Amino acid sequence: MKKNTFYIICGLIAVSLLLLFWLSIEFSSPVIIAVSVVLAAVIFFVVKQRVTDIVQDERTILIDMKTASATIKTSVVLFLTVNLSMIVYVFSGPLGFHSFAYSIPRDPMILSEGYEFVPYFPVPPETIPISELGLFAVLQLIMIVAALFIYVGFRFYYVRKFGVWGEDEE
Amino acid sequence: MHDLTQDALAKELGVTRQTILAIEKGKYDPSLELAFRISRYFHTTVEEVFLFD
Repeated sequence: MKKNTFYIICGLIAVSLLLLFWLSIEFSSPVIIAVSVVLAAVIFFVVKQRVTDIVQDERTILIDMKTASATIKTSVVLFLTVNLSMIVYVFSGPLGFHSFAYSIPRDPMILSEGYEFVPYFPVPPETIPISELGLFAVLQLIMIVAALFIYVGFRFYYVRKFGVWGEDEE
Repeated sequence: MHDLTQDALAKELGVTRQTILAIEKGKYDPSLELAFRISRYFHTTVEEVFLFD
């Protein structure tokens, strides 16, 4: 397989993941995006193995390794900072996972009043007593995008460091 | 001198042309294996091709 075909497939995978992400939100089903991401990763690595015209030498491998290492180090610090802040924020209020159950009002036609506990996982967001829950989703999105930008930034840095940028002489 | 392009040398050594260019410009230090392969290609010694700063 040619590398251009591989890049087109990567683009299609990315667009499909975006659509599945949207579907996942529409149907309030985290399973869709979770399974899709794992499948996309497997497809990516299987397809990458079949590419025949990508030349990888010691310099490109060094750039890959340095970029991955720097991205992981930076992302761990970023994720740790945000996650610890979020944990403190959540622990400061009532937690929503004590019994993996939520309560719904009983049928009003039944004389015995009260609430019925329904086992459920994950607990529907509207039943978790945390205000501004959307903040979590936005922060997670920001962190994912930040990790992508960090990767691209380090990639440019190491390609410049171990290569000649812009010059193309024979 | 050898009437050789970077692309041809890269193909001969199994590396990318950018790697040859980076070595020429002193931006990348090749591994010992690649250094020996380069010197062997030119039928000379590693010391003749590379200088240690």
